[in-house]
Amino acid sequence: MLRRFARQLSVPPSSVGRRLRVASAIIALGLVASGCAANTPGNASSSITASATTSSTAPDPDASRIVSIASDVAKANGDSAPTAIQWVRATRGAIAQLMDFGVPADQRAINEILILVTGSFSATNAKLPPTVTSLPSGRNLEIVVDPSSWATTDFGIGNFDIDLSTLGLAHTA
Amino acid sequence: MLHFPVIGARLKSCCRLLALIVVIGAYLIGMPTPAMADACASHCYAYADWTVTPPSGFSGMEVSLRTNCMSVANNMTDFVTNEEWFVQGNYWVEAGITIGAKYGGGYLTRAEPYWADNRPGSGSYHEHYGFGAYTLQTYTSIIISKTVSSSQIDIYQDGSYLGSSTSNFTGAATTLLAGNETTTTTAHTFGSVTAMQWRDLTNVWHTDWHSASGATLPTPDAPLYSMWMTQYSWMRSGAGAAC
Repeated sequence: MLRRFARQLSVPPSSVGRRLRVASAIIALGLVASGCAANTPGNASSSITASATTSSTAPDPDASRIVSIASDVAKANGDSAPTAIQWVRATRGAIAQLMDFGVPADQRAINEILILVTGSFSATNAKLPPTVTSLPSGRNLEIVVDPSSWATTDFGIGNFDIDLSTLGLAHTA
Repeated sequence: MLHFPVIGARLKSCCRLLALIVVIGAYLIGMPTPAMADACASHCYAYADWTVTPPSGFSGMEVSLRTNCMSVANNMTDFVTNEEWFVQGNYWVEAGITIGAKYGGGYLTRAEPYWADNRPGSGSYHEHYGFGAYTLQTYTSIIISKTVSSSQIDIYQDGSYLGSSTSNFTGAATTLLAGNETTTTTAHTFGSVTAMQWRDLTNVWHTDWHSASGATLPTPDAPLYSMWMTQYSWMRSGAGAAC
């Protein structure tokens, strides 16, 4: 095989082995480097795992997906290593009441997930009036997800003192 | 004794090895391509602005939005809107049509209605979606209204209730705005804000954004543009070619 590879490279077989070792080392370095990059604070999923704990024995079957959503949103809002991710499943009506906004009557019974992320955030892509120059910021993100489509329906950024356990079983990543 | 065919073969192999090292090196270093900062990264606007001084103020606003086309080059990172804002200082409610990135995750590949607010205290900033698709090239009426003595502000689209911003500012709004916002110069949108109406402090509706003073069109941020089609009642704005 070395001989065939040597013919392709037009070099003596004796030098192919050495060059392959060099190339392998470089590739290995690359893999190590990329692995290191993935473990920098830039990757939130490395700091928060999906092994959710709850006050009961039943883990959330969608924990990985929920943590992934929370991590992506945290990263997009300036904190790649959030310190906490919690969530609770409840109706949209109950979530809206806790987050303090009004929803149409026909949306109140929809089952959704409220995710509360803790860290240090700044919303560069928030929609703002032209008269406002400072970006919304805070130590919390609220993310509401419809698990039937996994579309995000509501977001909040600020310093929120909300207790998810008032809505049901609160999970913590 | 040197043989030219051998030299040629060695040169060839050296070149190949060099190319391999360059490729792997580029991979190791990451080779970031020089990125040009988008001139609209800090948000660009084209809008009509009617600001009054207390005790004057507004208890509501209504405009009819029409968007003929709406897009950004990268839906995952940028957005563009056609919308209205109901503002008192640093607190507000806004509602309209948007496409592209939702700051809280995910993105819209079709134009959809939304509303957002920024509230005092721990209320802070929120965005709300999930109201279905907006049909391009149609007029849609957006109302934002409040009872002046209350801190609740309600949002309606074509007469349907979209939601309420609760625990927001008390008193009247002092600024009404309408137009486009985007985070990218790649935005392409063409539309209008028509039937511009406002509600006074006694809850009476009026046509045209004008009484003692009137709305102005501040210079838009390129590539956005704006112009009055009929002053105080019909503004056209967008970015890119008509569509």
